[in-house]
Amino acid sequence: MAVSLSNQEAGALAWVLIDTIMQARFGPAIPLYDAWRQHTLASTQIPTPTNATIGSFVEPVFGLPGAAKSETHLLGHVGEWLWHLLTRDNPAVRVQPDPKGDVTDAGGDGFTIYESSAGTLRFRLWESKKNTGKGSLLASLNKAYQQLADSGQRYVAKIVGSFAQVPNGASDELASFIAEVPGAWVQGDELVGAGVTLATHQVLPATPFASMASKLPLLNKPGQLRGLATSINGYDELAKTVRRYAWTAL
Amino acid sequence: MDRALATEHLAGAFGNVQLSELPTVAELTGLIAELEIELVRGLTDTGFRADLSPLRRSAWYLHGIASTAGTSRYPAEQRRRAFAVSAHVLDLLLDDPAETGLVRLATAFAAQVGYHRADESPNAGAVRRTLRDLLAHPVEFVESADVALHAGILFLGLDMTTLNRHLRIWTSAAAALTRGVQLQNLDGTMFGPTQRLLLGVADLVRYLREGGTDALEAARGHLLLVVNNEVGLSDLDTRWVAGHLLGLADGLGESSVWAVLPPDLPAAVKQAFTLDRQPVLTLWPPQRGLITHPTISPLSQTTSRLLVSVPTSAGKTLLAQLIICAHTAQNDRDVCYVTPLRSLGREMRQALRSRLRYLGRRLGADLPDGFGTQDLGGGVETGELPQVEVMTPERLMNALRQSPQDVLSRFSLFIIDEAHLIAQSGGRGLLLEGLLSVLDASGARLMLLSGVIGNAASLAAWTSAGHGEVLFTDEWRAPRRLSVLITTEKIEESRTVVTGRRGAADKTRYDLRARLAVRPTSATERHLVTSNDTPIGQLVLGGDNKRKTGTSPNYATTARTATLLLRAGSLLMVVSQRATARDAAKAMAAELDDDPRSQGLADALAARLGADHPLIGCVRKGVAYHHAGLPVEVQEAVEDAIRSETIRAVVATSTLTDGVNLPVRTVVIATTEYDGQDPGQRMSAAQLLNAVGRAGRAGKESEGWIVLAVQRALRSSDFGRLAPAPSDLEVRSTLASPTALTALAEAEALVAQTQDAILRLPYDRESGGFVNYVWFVLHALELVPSLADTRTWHDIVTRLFAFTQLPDDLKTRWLALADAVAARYAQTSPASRRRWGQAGTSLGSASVIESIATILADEVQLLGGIGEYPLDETLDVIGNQDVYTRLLQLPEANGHWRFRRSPKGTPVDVDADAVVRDWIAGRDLTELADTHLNEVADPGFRLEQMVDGISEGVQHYLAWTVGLVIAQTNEILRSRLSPLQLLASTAAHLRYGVDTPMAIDLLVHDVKSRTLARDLGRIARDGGLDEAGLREHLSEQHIRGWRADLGATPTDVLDLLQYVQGGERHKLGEMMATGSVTAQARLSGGLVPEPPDSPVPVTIVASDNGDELNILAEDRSVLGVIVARDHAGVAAVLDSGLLLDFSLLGTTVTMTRAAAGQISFT
Repeated sequence: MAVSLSNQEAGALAWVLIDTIMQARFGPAIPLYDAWRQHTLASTQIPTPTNATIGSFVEPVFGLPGAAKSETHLLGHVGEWLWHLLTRDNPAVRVQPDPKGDVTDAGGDGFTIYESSAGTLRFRLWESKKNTGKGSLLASLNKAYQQLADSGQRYVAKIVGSFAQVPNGASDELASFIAEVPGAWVQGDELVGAGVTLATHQVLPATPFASMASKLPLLNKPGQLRGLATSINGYDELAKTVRRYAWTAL
Repeated sequence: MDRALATEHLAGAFGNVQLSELPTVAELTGLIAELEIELVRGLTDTGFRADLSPLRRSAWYLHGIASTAGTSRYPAEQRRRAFAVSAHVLDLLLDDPAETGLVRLATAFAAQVGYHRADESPNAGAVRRTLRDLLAHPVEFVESADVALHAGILFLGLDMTTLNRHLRIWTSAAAALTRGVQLQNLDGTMFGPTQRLLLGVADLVRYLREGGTDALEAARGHLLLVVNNEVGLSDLDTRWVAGHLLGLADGLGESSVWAVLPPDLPAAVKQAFTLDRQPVLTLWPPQRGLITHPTISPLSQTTSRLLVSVPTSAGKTLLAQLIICAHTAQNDRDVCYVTPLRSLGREMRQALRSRLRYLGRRLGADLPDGFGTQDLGGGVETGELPQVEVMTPERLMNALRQSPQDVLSRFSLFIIDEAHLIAQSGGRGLLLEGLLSVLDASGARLMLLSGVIGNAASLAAWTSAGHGEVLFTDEWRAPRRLSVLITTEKIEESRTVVTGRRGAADKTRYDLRARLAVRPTSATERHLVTSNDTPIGQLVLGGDNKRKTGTSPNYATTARTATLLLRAGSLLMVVSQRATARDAAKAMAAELDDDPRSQGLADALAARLGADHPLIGCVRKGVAYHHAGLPVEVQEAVEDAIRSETIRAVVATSTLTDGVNLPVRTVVIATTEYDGQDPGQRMSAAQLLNAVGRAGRAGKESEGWIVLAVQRALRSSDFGRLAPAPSDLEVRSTLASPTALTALAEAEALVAQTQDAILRLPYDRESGGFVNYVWFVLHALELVPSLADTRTWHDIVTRLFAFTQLPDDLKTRWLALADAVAARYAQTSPASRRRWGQAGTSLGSASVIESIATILADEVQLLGGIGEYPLDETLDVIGNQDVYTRLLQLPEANGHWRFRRSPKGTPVDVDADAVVRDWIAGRDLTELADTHLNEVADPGFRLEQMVDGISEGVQHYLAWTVGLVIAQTNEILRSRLSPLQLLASTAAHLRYGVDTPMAIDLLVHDVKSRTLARDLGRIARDGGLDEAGLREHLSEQHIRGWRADLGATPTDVLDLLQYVQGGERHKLGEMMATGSVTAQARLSGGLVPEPPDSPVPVTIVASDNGDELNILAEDRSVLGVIVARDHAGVAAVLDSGLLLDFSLLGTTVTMTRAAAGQISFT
């Protein structure tokens, strides 16, 4: 998908993103969310000591004004949310946790368990990449493929472990499906697949993911590979705008 | 080969299914083996040379299938093995520098989970230790993934101290946030999962430390909310950690101290383990297996006989502590723990001290072997509390000789550790065997603990004597082991011909390099050589191809090679002789730089031994040596140092009983062996197994290395020596050995020829030992009528283990010798036979000692006087009668008083009387050496000889025999109705080298430094202070005063803190019982907090230098310190990790458990 956004559109998208992110972060702390939102929209400062509390909710991934965190993580995180918002409403999706921002552990930035058209469960591990400079898109994508190949098994093992190993109400169907994923990932069985998301400002080629199949040769069955490229002019700027909104009222 | 790499083990992990995209079992074994070899070789700057990706994928695959739900298609046994194999691989991968950040934390956590689920939990502690630098500082609470992994790793590593510290910081951050959001908790927000995870961890800790299934249930509730993604935006790591902790909660619920120890056992016994500074929270499989055994649980008072045979480092020492504490909490009679291994005895004392104090029991004084069970310490303040004694078999036997009735009636439980040492030659084995057959008759409970033995069933049958099944065995052991062989070889390229001078033949010189054979699996053996650029020694060959002068000794090349292995962790090198131990330590030290960690120890040892002693220079480099010739205090300091890693390596002799009994990372066996050597001189299979068993410290490392140094070309069969067969490990009574038969035949010939043969048998041969034992049995029966009512001497003697192994003809012959002893006993006067029985020397020496005592008694009566002679007059009597010279001529003196001008020089005569007087006067060892050995030119050698002479000649031998002489002299005087007595405690003055009774009291209790004890003894004497008075005086001086006025070192301060607290109830125990406890404060500058009549909240924290416990006001200003008397008690309360509230009223600090003892987030 290639989108050319005007400044105004980009600003609106950034707002939708930060508003969604902050809503998820605050959860039931609605007065704080409201305070953050009102002050941000009014471009006013949140008074002490509330600003410190709200700062704690902003700090993960974004950092704080004057103490910004890694831009790579910022761009990755915004990319994940973009992907999440674009895919989560698919009715076939059974499990797809919101991105928290554990972007520093390479090898998987999200996963989906969904129902195939045949009604069987499928697992897909996603890796998001951003490309903001002048570097080749292919290099960014190759890195994503490599991370899936190298670290996918670890990510899968963690996902298995994050489902309770004791009866916890998770459906039998889901539990027995999860148990199959480590072996399926090793062999590239059809119940697993991989996806790569790319967020960039560059113009997309006609088939941006052409080399994916050769880099992940085991995943050669129909539907095992997915690519989602978002070309937004000024992607880098978009992510920074998201962060600027997060910081506005602090 | 270690089981971890056994093919069936790996194949079982994969469920015998081969996935085409993973390495095969054989390939995987090879890859793991390759990593093990690389670790011995040393990694490059970029880590392993091998391609790690197939291993990584395999490990995470196995971890993944192992993590599936219990209902998955993977059977439980496969999942367990998959956890074990993945843990092993992931653990190895932690050495790879490419694993950083969250990936490294995840690898560590997964390895820990695997180890726990595979019942190898100590290895999870080892993983935690690998990351200790990273985990030292808490990450920010808002970094949820890091917090989750840090908390998970600290918890699974059971590092309660760090975990508690971090939890406090995290909870205070979370509490501030909770207040900020104005909600009950952070549920639903992005911090909800982290808060719930930490609550879960805190409740798991609470369960492990305090029991109570409500805490466990609460933990499950918190963790389940995280796993089910019900409490807010969470990252995968937080959910992953929560998922595994939830899975492990059940396992912890089964292996915790609270679950395993019987519910009716007093809670205090459990708390004595779980609330300790270094808490024991979970028990290992063999410990659980035995304690929960349906018929032979040692915690059941109905189990009266037991033999536990488990490998070294399977947790036997802790088991003994549990048995002791459980018994003493339920039984008012004393307990006696016996171990022939002196360092094990010292370790046991350290571990028991605070536990017994918590239970309101006391630990008997640490007395030398010759002192039996007499109490030198008065024990006034502790009253008549039941006591636990820790002693050697020699000391227990001496106690039995002196007063068998008292000993047999006093104890209700005997634990004999290292019982397999009944096979040890040189008299110790027979002594242990004899001791057991007497204790068997005592009616007390008798528990034998032993290492692996080949004939456990027959030893058990003997132990049982009709009590039914008594044997418990288990092969479990946590750390893996890797076997390595090392030798030296010529570097051909270095060949140089040295032309012979003055017509002598030419010689050829080579540089040497080390060759190492590493065998991680039975199928993988890899050879490594050290670089030709850094030779480890030289070989000089003559024309006859024999080694010539200039060839590096084997110990030196082995020592140099061993230094290469130090990077992996602490190392123990075992050699044959004392001189070699010293020289090998010097060779190792020469390769190393000064080690900043060991300078404090070096200074302390220099103060004790003199700066010229060769040990000091070694210790400065982080290397020590350890043998029985060093003073006990020094041996103990070296053991502590290797335990705390203040030093990195120790070289010890193979003498098991006096050796280092502590686990280390690497054990190097470098004993001297040559063709045609007497097999008795070689390390036996059991000795080797024991030494090898020291490799790998459970809880600190997941792998240990065993290195066998071979003095010829390597053969694969050499690996076999490191894994002895059961037949090699059979315990045989020394009376059934071939040398015993020779000694028996000689004894029989002597009996046929001479009337006094019984008195002339050598004490160090089996015949002498047997005769001595029979005499003792006759003596004991005479003194203990109740024993004589039920048993004859014949019953007790034939109860010896030997009688289960000897053929009938030999039984008859040994019993005939026993008959001869009985006949001689009957002919001896009652007074003499009692004295000889009490002596514990050979009967011949006993008669000499009796004659010396008679001479002294005559002399005392001649001198006259009133009552008990003071110390100096007693020493005069002893000196005037040449008592030391006479005693040093007895065979038992064993050359302990021999001095030379140089190592191979002429003998020097040293006046024992003069040395003993200077020693007791408190002069230090350098002064003694300079005064009495001034003929020895080399100051180092001079000092070393004096240390040996004092340690073995005076502190051991003369203290023991002078004690016997004085006891007999006094008894003779009493029998003559004389009111005169020699000073009864003279032997203790010889033993400790101090001149006041108070100094002895200090040294047998808490104080280790002779100088400090000497000075305090004099302060007490000059100030007319009794024990309570001295405590008061010391409390008044406070810690700063000890430093300034007494020159107390940090170790001295710790000792004095123990001493000054006296016999007060354990503060932590009191708090657990009542909910609060008080301590006294010493307020600075007369400050009294306002208002003066109501308690103000304070906190207590250790001062920066760790000396004081500061009392802080809410504004963090220092109000004062805890008084010295209460310092140790308050420190124990703080170390418990319980959540506490403190308040100060006047000078009284009250410590109360925080509400419900739960961590609070609000």
